Amino acid sequence: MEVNPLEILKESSKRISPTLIEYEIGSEIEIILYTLIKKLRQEYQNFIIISFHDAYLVLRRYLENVFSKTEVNTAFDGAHLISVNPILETEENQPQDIIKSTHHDIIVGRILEATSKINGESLFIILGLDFFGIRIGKEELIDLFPALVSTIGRKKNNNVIMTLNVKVFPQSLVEIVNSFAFNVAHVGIELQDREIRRYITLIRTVFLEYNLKKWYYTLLGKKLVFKRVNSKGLIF
Amino acid sequence: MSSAEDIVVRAVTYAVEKANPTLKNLLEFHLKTTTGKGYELAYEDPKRFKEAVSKLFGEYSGRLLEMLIISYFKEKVGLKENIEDLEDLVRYVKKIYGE
Repeated sequence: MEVNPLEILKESSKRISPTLIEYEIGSEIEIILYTLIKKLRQEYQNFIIISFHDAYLVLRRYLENVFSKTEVNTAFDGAHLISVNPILETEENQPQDIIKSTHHDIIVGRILEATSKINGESLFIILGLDFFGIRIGKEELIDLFPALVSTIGRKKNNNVIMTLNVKVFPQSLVEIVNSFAFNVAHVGIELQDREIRRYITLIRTVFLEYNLKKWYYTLLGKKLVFKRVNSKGLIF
Repeated sequence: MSSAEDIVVRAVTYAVEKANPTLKNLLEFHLKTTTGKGYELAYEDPKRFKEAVSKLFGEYSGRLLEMLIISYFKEKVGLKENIEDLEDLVRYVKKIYGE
């Protein structure tokens, strides 16, 4: 049977958290994330989205173009949105909590305050950390990331999933961020005669036999289809 | 090419190269085939440029690229204004260069 890398990531994230999905421009991270959210959403009592600089709004806009608005609404139904430094998100997505600060201590403190009222098993999606790093600065991101991960990862039953574009930041920053994640997947692209080939590599999960394995994927209709790549680059 | 257009095109080139240099030609090819323009579209019609980029790379990556373009002006040109999108940036650059 064909093994689905998102199933592996899903199961691994349930056992150990946080999970970092590194992505490159053009990899359609929106679809990967949406598929993973749909797989995990029903297993958690609470669904909390932390969105930096309108990242949730951007994600939803794209998803609503690819899928139907109703479908996307269902996937995000009941989500608690915490918007950090929003502009358009305030009106369009009506966040439950709004944080306006560029200082990591204030942001993390306010997030802790907002999430401390939420009890039970929770799925956290953190979007736009890269937006924050570009807008505010990579030094602030280096300070923010560990503090954020340790704050929301403190509760045993929290499953934390984050995305970050790794190409736009220096390797030293990527290594710091990586060292705080227990599951790491890389979503990237390859160019072949002006055609984009998208792939996912599981870098670190609890399922050691699948680590460093690679799959190409395409969106067929509304479904992600994965094809495994072996060590010689052959697809099977 | 005017000075304002030149600096916007340079910012787009910087952003694409920072994000992934291998995408430079692909994005240019995509813009040419879908809009008949190259990177200069970012200056001539920033909204249309953003739509074309999002169509190729997705909305999330499109926004990231937009932020990188703005960051070019902050890092290399010393932009102090709080500009959030490409449309405002182009308006601002045109104003500065009196175009």
